Amino acid sequence: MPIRTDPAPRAIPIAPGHAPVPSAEFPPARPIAVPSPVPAPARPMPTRPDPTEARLAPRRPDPTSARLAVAAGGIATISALLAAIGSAAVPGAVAAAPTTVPAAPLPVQTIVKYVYVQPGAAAPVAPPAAVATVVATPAPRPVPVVVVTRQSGAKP
Amino acid sequence: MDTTGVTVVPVVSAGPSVTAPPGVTDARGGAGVPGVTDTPTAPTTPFPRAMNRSRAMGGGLGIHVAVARDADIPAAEVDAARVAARVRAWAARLTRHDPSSDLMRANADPHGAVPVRPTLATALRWAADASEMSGGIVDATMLRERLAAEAPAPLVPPTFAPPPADPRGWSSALSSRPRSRPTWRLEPSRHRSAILHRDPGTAFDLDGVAKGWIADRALALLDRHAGALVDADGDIAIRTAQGDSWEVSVADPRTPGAELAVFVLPGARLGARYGVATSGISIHRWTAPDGERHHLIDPRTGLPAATDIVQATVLAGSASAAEAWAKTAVVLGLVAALDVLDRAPVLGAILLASDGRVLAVPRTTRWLA
Repeated sequence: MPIRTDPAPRAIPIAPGHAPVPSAEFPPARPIAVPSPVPAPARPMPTRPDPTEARLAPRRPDPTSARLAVAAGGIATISALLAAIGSAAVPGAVAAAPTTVPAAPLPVQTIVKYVYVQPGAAAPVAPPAAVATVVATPAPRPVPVVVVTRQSGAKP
Repeated sequence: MDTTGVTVVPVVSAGPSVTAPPGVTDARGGAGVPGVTDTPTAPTTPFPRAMNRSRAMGGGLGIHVAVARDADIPAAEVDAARVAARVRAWAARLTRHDPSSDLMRANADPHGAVPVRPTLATALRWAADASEMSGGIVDATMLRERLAAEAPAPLVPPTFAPPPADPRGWSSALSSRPRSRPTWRLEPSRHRSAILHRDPGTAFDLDGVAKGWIADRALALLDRHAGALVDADGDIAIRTAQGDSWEVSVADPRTPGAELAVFVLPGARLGARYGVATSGISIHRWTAPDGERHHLIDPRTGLPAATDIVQATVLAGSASAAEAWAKTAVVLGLVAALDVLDRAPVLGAILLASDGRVLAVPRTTRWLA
């Protein structure tokens, strides 16, 4: 017997007595809150690479700075090694160790500047550069001095 | 009043050998000196001068006034006499030789808080400033030590207390700091008076700070004249007019009438103020049973200063500052004095050492005739 299919599906009527009856074992289905559908972000559509870009060489960082850094590091390492070898080769050389002896204070030398003054001394043309300068060459003073400074109580 | 009359002083020439004096700041790095506000100019024109000579403060008092015209001389003479009278009045309030002076009445008051009148209050304020400026070397509370030095009894060094901090940092030279002194302070009162608060036993002697202060104060009373000079027994305050100049000779204490050097102090466009003062140990000196003594007390020891300076003359921006630095130099001794004066706000200094050498800080030579 050929099997026939129904090209137009129809609802099958449920016979009386087969209707779902709510019971304690099977409570009625509660409405489930379904979040409102959020439109999914649009996926980026794969684009076909530009055939012209495919022909370009990939950009790479300039290796010069890296090479220089490596070279400098190498030189520093070699120098440290040579210095260590050299110091070890010196008989009696002792590796420097941290010391707890405080350094002695450096002597502070105070330079006292002065010049000699003679009666009638004249001012030099340029400021004195030496620590001590002998000022000489008494200059004639035709004008009488008006005021004299002296120790208090001294007789004029 | 002992007024000798009017004296017209001829033009003072700086001479061709004097280089341009420095301005406010010394080219070698010296501190700025208040008073000289502009580069001085060479003197070119004569300024007639009125002069009043009298006696005050145990010595000579000279009031010199420079005027622009001969016709102004009578007014200058009147002002000079008036200022001389004011100086004598101030000195009478500050002297330690009169028990009725404001100073000695305050010293005799047994209370710890004593009201003092404006002149004494202002002089004491300057004494406090001078003490701070000199790192404690200038000390106005040395009256008892000075009286002990003047007495024939042997001197007993006082007990020492921990030295105070030096607020001005002069201290490479002031290696031996002043000993602790009784503290005192002034509380301002009405009409420029003050209340003097002091420790018991504190007695003041303003001999080391009053003359220069009086000279500066008197000079301020002569502002209306072109220039002026107040000579308070060797401590001199000067204001030089533009185009004018004053000469001040430094006396040689070894030979009467001789001079160690001459300062030429020219005027400036914006005004020039100077102060010259001399301090030393060769005049107020006497022999006690235990040896030679003099009147300059070292506050670090409470005894007459053991110094190798016979006399110190300082040129500064005011007479009060010059007096304080001159006294500081003598008390410190030659090497320390040259070190301190080289860094101090002074224009120059000339020191006579006990071995006969005459030394000066280098920038002094710019002001010598």
